[in-house]
Amino acid sequence: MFGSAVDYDFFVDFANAWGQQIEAREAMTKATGRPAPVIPSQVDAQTYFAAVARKGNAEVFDAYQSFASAFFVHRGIASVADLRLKVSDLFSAKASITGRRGLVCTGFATMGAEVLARAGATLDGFSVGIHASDDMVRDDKLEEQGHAIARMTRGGKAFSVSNQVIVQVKNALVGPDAIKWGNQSNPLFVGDGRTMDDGGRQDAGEGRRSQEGADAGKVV
Amino acid sequence: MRLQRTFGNAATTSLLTQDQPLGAALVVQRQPKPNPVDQAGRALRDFEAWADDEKKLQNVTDKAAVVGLDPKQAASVQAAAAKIVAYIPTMRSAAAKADPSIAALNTAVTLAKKASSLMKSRDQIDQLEAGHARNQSRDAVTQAISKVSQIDAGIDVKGLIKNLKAIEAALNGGGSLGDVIKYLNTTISELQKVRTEADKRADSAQRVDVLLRAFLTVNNPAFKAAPTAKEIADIKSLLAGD
Repeated sequence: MFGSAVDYDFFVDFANAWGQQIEAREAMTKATGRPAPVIPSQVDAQTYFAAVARKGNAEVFDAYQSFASAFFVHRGIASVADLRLKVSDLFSAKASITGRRGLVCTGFATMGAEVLARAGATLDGFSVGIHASDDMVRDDKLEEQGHAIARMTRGGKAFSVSNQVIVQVKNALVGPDAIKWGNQSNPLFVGDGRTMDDGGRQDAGEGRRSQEGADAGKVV
Repeated sequence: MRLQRTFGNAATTSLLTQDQPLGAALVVQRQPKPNPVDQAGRALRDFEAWADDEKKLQNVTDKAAVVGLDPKQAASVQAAAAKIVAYIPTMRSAAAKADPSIAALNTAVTLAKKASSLMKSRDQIDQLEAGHARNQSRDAVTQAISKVSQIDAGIDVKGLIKNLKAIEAALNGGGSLGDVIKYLNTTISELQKVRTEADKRADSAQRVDVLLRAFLTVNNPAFKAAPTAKEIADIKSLLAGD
């Protein structure tokens, strides 16, 4: 109607987000039997995922992906403080102008672990990986090269929560089915832990250099 | 000379500051006032620019992650939505105005075909009748020109009118009836496109209005003109949900 959509990319994106929110709210209403708010709280999320606990993996994974895409947005820049954010911190953040709360991969993993546990999944741990050159490690310049996931199991099926996506592999950071991010020509360091902070610390200091790295198998 | 505001001023000033005779400056014409949809489009582009600035200020990689809607921007988006919705009846009316023009042109085609057929006869009465049908066809085209000129809502009909005037002149003079029929049919099909376009613009305007009100609701749950359940249901299939 205005000629080109190029000049209105925010509103095009908002239309997409709003469509996802409408669908996610409909799914929440159907599952819980009560209307879903415009921006769901932590309790709303817990109630929703508890309500789908008897559903199969496909439905539960789809519920997470729809919910996470509709109500959360990756804000791009991560900091060490993000490793320590609790679920309540993530849900109490002010929503963006598209009605989605901003977080980074660590937040998605933390939030995903919480809500999927309500849906009957078990948290196996968190993993944090960084593609880093020796110079980057020496100079502590690791920003934007890291990624974090939650490792979980549900109904005997291992999977990873990677941002708003469920990757159906035990650890989406390593192995032949690993997701791609950062500068893959740099060695990959991966830390695992029971909490996100543990995973981050392992990765930063005592983590292992993954088989995927340039120096495969070398432990740092 | 009365100077016009905004764009007109710049154009006028630019002309007046050049070393030209006064007559050259006086040919400057007032630019047409942008229609409400164009004005709304400009306000929304300004919003996009604001969101882009905020993205940088807030150090996020996506405008979708910007937090905190500036009340001035909210007011501007609301005003844009109001402008768009107020213009919908004009667009619907523009679409409806195309119908009598199409009807007049169909009559013109029928009469031109009749004239063409009668022209083949050697009977003098038929020849006279052919001239009469030709004149009637021209009158129908003249009528269509008048109706097409009333189509507004930001739809450019200058080309259509130019074509119709050429057909009118051909009917008035001794232009080939075969060509007249051919170009009349082409113009009818173009006019049908104009009608469809006007309807589409009105439908789009309706959807943009709902979307903008949804945006305002997301940012202010107390917003009074939130989209209704029916409006959401109507627009839902057009939103990318996945």
